[in-house]
Amino acid sequence: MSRDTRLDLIEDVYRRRYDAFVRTAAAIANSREAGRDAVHDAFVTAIRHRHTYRGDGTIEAWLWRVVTRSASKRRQAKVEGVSTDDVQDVIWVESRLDVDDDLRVGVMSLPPRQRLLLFLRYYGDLDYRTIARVTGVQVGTVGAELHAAQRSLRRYLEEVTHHA
Amino acid sequence: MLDYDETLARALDELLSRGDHRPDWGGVLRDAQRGWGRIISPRSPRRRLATLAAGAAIALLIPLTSLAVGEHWWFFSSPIAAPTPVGDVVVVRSGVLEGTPWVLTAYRTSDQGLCVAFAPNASTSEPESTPTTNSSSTVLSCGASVSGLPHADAQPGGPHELGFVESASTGGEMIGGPTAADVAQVKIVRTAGSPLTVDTFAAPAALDAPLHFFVAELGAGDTVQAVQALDNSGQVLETLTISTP
Repeated sequence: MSRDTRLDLIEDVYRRRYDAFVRTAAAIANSREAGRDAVHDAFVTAIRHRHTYRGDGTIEAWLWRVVTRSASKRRQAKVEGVSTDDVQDVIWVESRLDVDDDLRVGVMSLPPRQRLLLFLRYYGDLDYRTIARVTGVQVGTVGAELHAAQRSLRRYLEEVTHHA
Repeated sequence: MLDYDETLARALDELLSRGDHRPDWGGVLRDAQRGWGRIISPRSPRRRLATLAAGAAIALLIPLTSLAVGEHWWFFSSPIAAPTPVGDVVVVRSGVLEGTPWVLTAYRTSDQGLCVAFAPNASTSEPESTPTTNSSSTVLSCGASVSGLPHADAQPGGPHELGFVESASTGGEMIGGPTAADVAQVKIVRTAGSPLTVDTFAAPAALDAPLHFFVAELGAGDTVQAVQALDNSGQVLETLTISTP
């Protein structure tokens, strides 16, 4: 596969899946702004290193790996100590601000790997096989971890319903 | 079987809604091009571009916030691993541009030739130190086919009289890189303002390479049009023209 062919493929994936990339990256980075920046940086890196894509697996899965790495580096874990403007940008919180924050707290309370799998599944709209390729986790493990994450989050959603 | 919870999906969508983001492919392409020397020859643009792509086979542009702490040089912990060095990473030169420290480093590899890296806002005394701003970027470029380096003539279009990397920081832009030992000066032609000519200097002995280097500080927003290698008498040995993104 030539470099320019790869560039065309990268552009196609970028344009087609941009919204999913940004949502997933924002979820991982815990910041909408950082998510956009992470996707930008990831594709800059991908273009420069497209010769390192060896064709084992889809180029989309390869790009998802680059994006998740880029977003992980930008992750902002804590809401404490940031300005009001920053709070508006933060997606997940570690402590409840009001009753509607149950899901936001619930996501943050998940183990990091479950959280990543959840983001790839729901914001990235990826199937288990692709998630496995992106994360290097066995397909069976992806299923089990996602099942556990969903079970935890349903509890938080039920709490919201109960409070309402 | 794909386990997908529609209620959960709707709740998650409310926190991060769909369709709010507009792609900027042009911006991505521009930034991708900045780091690896956008060189085009008047005679054979595509070939020379490929040559320089090979000459900068590993080029990383990483936000400084992502530089690793305690893992030695930043490029060894970047998303795509840098080539393994043969010998030490050598600080070629360091300085301060508009209050922002920068450092130019180089190291030899067994199979990728010479690697050259710019890190604005990085300390030179502590290789593992992390720069403090997120508005700068670092760049690593490997494989430059410069005369004097082993196998430089094996590269298509090589060897060259010089290679270069550019790096942007909060204080402005930097350009620098290796040159052949017979290059005495490098002239940087900018799209605005007069050309900038800088003297080359011998590579640090620790690098164990018969090369010279050049470094130039550019103003913020300066765009480099061409880079020329000059000998002792001012004769142009080679001109590398840089395409505008």
